[in-house]
Amino acid sequence: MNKISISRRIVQVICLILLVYGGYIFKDWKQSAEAQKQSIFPSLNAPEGSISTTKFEKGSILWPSGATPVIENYPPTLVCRFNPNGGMFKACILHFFSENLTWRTSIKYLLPYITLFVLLCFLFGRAWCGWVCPIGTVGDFLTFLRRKMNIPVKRFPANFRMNLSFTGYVLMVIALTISTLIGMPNLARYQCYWFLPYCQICPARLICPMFGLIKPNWKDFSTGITTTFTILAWIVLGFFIAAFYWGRRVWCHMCPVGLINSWFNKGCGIELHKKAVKCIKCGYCADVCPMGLTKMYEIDKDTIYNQTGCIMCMRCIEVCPRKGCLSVKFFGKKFFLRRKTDAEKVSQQVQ
Amino acid sequence: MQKKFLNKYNEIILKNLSSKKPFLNDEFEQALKYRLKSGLSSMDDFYKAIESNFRIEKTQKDRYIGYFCSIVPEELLIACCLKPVRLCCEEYAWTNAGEEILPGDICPVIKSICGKFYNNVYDYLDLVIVPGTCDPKTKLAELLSPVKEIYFLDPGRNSDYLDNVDKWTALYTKFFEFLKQKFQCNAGRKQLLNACKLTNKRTEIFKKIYELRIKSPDVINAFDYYVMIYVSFFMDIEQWNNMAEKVYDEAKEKHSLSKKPKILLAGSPVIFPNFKILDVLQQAELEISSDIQCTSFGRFYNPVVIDEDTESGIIRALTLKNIAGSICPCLLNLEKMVNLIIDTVNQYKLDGVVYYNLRLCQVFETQTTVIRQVLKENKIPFLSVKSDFGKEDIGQLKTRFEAFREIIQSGKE
Repeated sequence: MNKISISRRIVQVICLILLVYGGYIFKDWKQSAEAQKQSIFPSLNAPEGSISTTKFEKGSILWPSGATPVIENYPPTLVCRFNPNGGMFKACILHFFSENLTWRTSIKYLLPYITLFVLLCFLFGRAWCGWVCPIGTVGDFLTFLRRKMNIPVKRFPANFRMNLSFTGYVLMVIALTISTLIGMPNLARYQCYWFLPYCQICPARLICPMFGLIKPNWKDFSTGITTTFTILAWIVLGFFIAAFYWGRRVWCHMCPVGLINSWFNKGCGIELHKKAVKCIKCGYCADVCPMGLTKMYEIDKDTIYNQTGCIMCMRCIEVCPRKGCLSVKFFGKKFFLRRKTDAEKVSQQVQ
Repeated sequence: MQKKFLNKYNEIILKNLSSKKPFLNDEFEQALKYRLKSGLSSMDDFYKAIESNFRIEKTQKDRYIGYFCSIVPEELLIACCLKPVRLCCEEYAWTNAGEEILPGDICPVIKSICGKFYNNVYDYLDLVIVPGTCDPKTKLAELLSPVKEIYFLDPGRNSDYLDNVDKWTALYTKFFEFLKQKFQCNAGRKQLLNACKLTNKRTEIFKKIYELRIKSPDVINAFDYYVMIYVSFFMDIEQWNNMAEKVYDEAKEKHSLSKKPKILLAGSPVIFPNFKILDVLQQAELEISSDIQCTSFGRFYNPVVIDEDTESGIIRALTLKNIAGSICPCLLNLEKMVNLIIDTVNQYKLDGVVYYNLRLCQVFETQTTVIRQVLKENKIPFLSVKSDFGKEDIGQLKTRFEAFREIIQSGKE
């Protein structure tokens, strides 16, 4: 029973282990500098006079606990720069944009990375959030703990979720603007304080090192700016833990990587279908959605339904009591059919 | 604090009653007549259970709770170790007794319920739960207060999940607290999960029987099916599951022999012993192959799906099963009913729809026109029938059904 949920949990755990501990498991496969020069993905380095994460010392916020990653690439999920021992991939896409806007790398070096990112997003949409993201796995574990302790879930109305997305976009735009500004030559002296502003407040920076039992740099009270960033990081981490504990995937409305992924949901390879004549309006699909979306319950016509915000966890399809009402197609071909009940298997035999 | 209706005037009401017991109680003969038509030997247990229902011996520990609609959640009652007994009845003999309290043109089901209560048939009940669905049923909360303790459950008339699920969850939570306080039991998450497992098992067995009847409607014929539904009103749920599974195991080995047209029966419920419609349909050579009625399909077909297994999460899932997924016309469910009829007929290739309407029930009657027009667009044969408990109109009904059968058979050629 619940085949989709079981396979999703297995994929989530495997991805957590690979993405976070990949640096330890695959450390013999790390690309050397000569191999990097010959691949289609050029290596991106800081120009003369610009700062990079390898120049920070151990006591500061942006000290990377790992060295180099196994593969220098940026998949569309929340793999963090601060994974222990480098991790499997280099960093998330926001780190990529932030760093290269400061370094003013020319666009021809960035195009291969961006093309691969867009291609992966078009294939799977926001399923990266629901099936791969290691931070989402941590959050789902907190939900499991809450249920064991018999604490009821807190559901948030649609206004609150839209305000969260708006806040997420505002923070992202501010971070990218700051990154562009400090790339200018006459503002370069501020780079040591304002480099990678979103990374300084992101909760993943504080969580990921703990997987390798490395202490994250959770405080730096040396100057006014670093103090501000430290306190902001604590506030965002507190919100992250509260959101995942009392809600279900509330953080995913605000996550910057998730917001970028959600642009590709309408038109990606995975499509959710509903046959409206079979619907009995029981409301189960809207009730189990971890993102709180209700469109699947409301629509009355046969449509393809891919809302921005859907993380493709397929819980709605699993719980629907009417066979054939909800289904999933991958590029037009049906897969993950709703499991047949005993009654349906028998009725086919009797026929 | 639970309000007691009509508290000041109880004595006046009880003093002015004269007992009008019916002079003939032919339940046993009815049961025997349908037992002869059944071809399955495992149905004998069900017929014996009907006979023994009239001799309930109540022990010190047993608590019986009466309730009326599918709106009331049985799982909460089972979790508190109480025995739920459904009280909807269509017995013609008690309607006359009920006319002392409810005169005039009122639903005959409500009259027969009143007649039974005021003649001490249900002395063994500890509590009766009355939902506020249709008008006469809502007033029943006041009319039965002199005789029994009543709990009134009001889901409202709007069946939309998004607007009302918080209100329904609060309603069920308050009901659960009342039960735990009155009967002094500590029911928690574990007992609720066990109760939901029992009802889900019952749903599975019912779905198997329902789909078997669609393919071969004469292996478990309509009389057996409705007798099984009636026995589930008062029988312990585990015992019913075992007996029903034996019936299914015996029936699936047999093959269907009938070539008669298959009919979907929708509308008012058919409750033993009021099998007049089933008799007439059988005489007119039509097979009832599936049904969309609140006592059978509407009550058993939806499972409880538990995602959040906290205590409030389970109660919320129960509201979705019982209220949001219900097909009762007292709530705003017309589109759902039309969708269900069209989908069932098209998926299983049935031949026609008979919409049975109990006389004086307005909520079912208001739906007839819309259903007729939509089914005409979809080219599905439709017949709507209005009838009562009496036997005067059997000849007229038979003529109409035979004409309907001619229409279906000429449509096929």
